[in-house]
Amino acid sequence: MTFWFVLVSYLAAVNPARLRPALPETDGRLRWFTVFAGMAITLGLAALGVALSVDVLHALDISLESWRIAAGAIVGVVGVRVLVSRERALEPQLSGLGAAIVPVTFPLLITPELVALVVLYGATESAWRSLGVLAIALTAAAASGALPQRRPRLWLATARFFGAILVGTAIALAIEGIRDV
Amino acid sequence: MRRLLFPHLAVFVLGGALFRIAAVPAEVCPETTAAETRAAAAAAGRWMARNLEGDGRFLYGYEREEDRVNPGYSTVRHAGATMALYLLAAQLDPGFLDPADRALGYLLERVIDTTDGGLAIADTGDRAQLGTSGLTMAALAERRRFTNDVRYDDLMRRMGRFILGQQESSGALLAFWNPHIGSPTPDAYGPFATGEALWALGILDATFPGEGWGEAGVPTLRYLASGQRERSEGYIARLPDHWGAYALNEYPEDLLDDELVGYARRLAGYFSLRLRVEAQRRGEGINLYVRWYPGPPAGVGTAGEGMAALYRMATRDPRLADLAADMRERLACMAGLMVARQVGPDEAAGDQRPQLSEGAWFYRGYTQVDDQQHVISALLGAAEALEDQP
Repeated sequence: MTFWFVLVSYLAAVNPARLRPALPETDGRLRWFTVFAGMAITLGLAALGVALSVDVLHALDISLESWRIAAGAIVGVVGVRVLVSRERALEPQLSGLGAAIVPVTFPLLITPELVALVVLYGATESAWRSLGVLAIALTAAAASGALPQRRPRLWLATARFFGAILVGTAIALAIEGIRDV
Repeated sequence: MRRLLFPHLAVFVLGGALFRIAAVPAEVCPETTAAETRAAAAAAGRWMARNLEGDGRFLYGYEREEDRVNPGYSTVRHAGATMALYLLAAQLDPGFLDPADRALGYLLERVIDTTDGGLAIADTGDRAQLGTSGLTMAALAERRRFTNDVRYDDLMRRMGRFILGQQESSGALLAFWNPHIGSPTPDAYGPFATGEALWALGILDATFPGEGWGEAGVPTLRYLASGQRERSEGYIARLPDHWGAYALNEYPEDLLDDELVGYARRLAGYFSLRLRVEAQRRGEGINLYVRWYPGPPAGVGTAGEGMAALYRMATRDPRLADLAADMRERLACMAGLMVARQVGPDEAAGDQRPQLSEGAWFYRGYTQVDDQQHVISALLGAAEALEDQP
């Protein structure tokens, strides 16, 4: 996979536009530290996922080529769901810094589509690429917090645009998986 | 905290479990060796030889539970089975030469003159069949390679002339020649016949170099590689044509440009997918509902022999070298599966007619001669790959 494919697919999986309205705020202002802490935890867990990806697939008797198709299926289902759903409901959250874990890390960032991609790229790309590019995508998602939340329809349309990218990613992964030997 | 996490975690875990069962079941590949793989191929060859009738016809099919023989027949499958026996004679045991020659006799009785200097094999009616002629050519070439007997060289060349007489300007090959009109049957193509005949042209080129057979086959190779066959002949999806893979392996490298090598890569992908899915099949429990029964042996065998042909190509052609290790892995897996699935002597002993089941592969209680044929060819190719394993 090219650098750009990995970046765009990670961005679509993180989906900054869908994420933004659900991030924790106090008096209408984003809790930046909490958000960055959640992203750091996510990156740490992703590093674990990257390190274990080959062993996990091996332990489950799943070939890399089959996982590529499976990851495509997960990403595709989520992509379709994003395309047809309204904006994300607010998640319950832990108080204080705990909000970095719930909801920022889970369930906002650690999602099935992100896990599928982390395992896939962990097994097929260099650690630098799979984690470095994820860090860029997470930073972009955090940066979306700086944007005003006016025009909710624009945010929804943007979130759906990323959903469409997820569907495209899914198709590309499935084709690649079918053609892989 | 627990109340917040539980619903999401439950969805995650249950969704993961469901996904594991339905979408990515374990791919289980029993271990096997080259020797065991060849022994399984030989046992299947003995099934074919043992059940060869007096007129050179094979036992066509057998229902194990009902102890019922299928009286149907297919000349093209007969030709393929004959080729498999010659492969066994050449690679494992010269004792297979005699049954192979008897089976060849059945085909030679069906040789007809196609008036343009060509000779072809007729099917059970009187139509000349492209695919049967192609596979008979493969059988004759294998026989020639093993025995150095050149008595059928003229027949081979004239069958090549018949094949070229079926070729259209697009590269398409007409599947039949009709003796009543003295020409090819128009607009009739076969899903497998084209690849079989194309392979025959490649074999002719390798057997009689410099006579231009390979060059003559290239338009047909391109017809397959470009997807024109599927568009013109009305197939929805690209055909995973294992005969096309055999053909690609037979043609000299200098005739294969990037488009044709790309076709080889695509075919390898199809065969790999087929074999990976096969490794996911248990045929029991929930797996039965998501992956169905272990596949028909002929289906697994065709994917295996297609992969084996491309593996041989990958070991020679540097443009495919990057695929060789993965191909070897798939072939080893296929070999393990089919060695494990073969009916051995102990299992057959409990059958009403053990001679009709020992050495065979069954799909839901039924076996057919081409089940053995395709798996034999696949296993012989896989044995080579297993020996290459680092």
